[in-house]
Amino acid sequence: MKANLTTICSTETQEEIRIFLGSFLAPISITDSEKNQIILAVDEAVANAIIHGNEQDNSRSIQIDISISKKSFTVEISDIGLFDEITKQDKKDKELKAIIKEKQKGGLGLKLIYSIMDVVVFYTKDGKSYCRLVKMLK
Amino acid sequence: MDIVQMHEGDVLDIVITGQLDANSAIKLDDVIKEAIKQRKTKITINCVGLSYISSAGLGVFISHLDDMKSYGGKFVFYDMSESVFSVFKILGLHTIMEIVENRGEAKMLMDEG
Repeated sequence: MKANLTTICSTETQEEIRIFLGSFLAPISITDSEKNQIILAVDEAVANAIIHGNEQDNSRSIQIDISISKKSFTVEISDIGLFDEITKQDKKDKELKAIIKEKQKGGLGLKLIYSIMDVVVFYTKDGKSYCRLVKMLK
Repeated sequence: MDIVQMHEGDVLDIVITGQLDANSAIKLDDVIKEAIKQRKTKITINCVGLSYISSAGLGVFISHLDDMKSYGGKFVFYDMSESVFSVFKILGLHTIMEIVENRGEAKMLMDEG
C-alpha cells in the first residue's frame, strides 16, 4: 500500500501531514502507541526539513511518500533544502544535560527520530534532499 | 492550541489544550518567558487537553528549566495522557521533569518546595 502528499514548506501544514499519516496507519495492525510514535518521528523529520532545510520558505514544497509492506513502514521526505549530515550527527549524539545547560530549543527532534525508527538515512540526489525512515513491523 | 493561565495564590496554572508542535510552541514560549520575567516560582502545567507534543513543545520547557531553577522556580506537569508521557519517556525527560497524576498532587509538590 502506498500514498503520497505534496504540501507547502510551512509549519502550519504539519497538522495536515499528521492527519494524512494517521489515516494511512489507521487500518494497520500495530498498537496505537506505535502509530503515535511513527507519526511523531515523521513529524520531526518534516519540521527539520521545513525549518532548517528550507527556512520556512512557503514558496517551496515538500513531498512525503509512504509505503507499507508486511514487514515494514517506510517514509521518504523530499525537498530542495540544504543538507547537513555533520550537523545532524552532532545533534543526534548531544547529551540531554548539555541541551538543558545550553538552553537549546532544538536538538531533541533528531534524538526522537533515531530512538523511534529502525533505519534513518539522509541523502541528496539530483539537487534534492531526502530523508528516508523505516520502521520494522513486528 | 489554546493556552489558559489561571492564578491561584502564588501558583500559576497553565492549561494547554490541543497540539503542541513547531507551529504552536512559539505561543507557549511567550507565556513561559513572561512568567519567568515576573519571577513566578510555582508553575503547574495542566496537560489534560494536550493531545500531542513534539520536540518543539518539549524544547520550550527545557530551554527555560535552568532559568526557573536559578531563582527557585519549578514546573510540575499533571493529568498527562499516556501518549504524551511516552514522548517524555523516549528522551528520558520523565526523570528530569516533575510529572504527577493530578492537580492535587501538583499543588502538594509545590507546597513541599
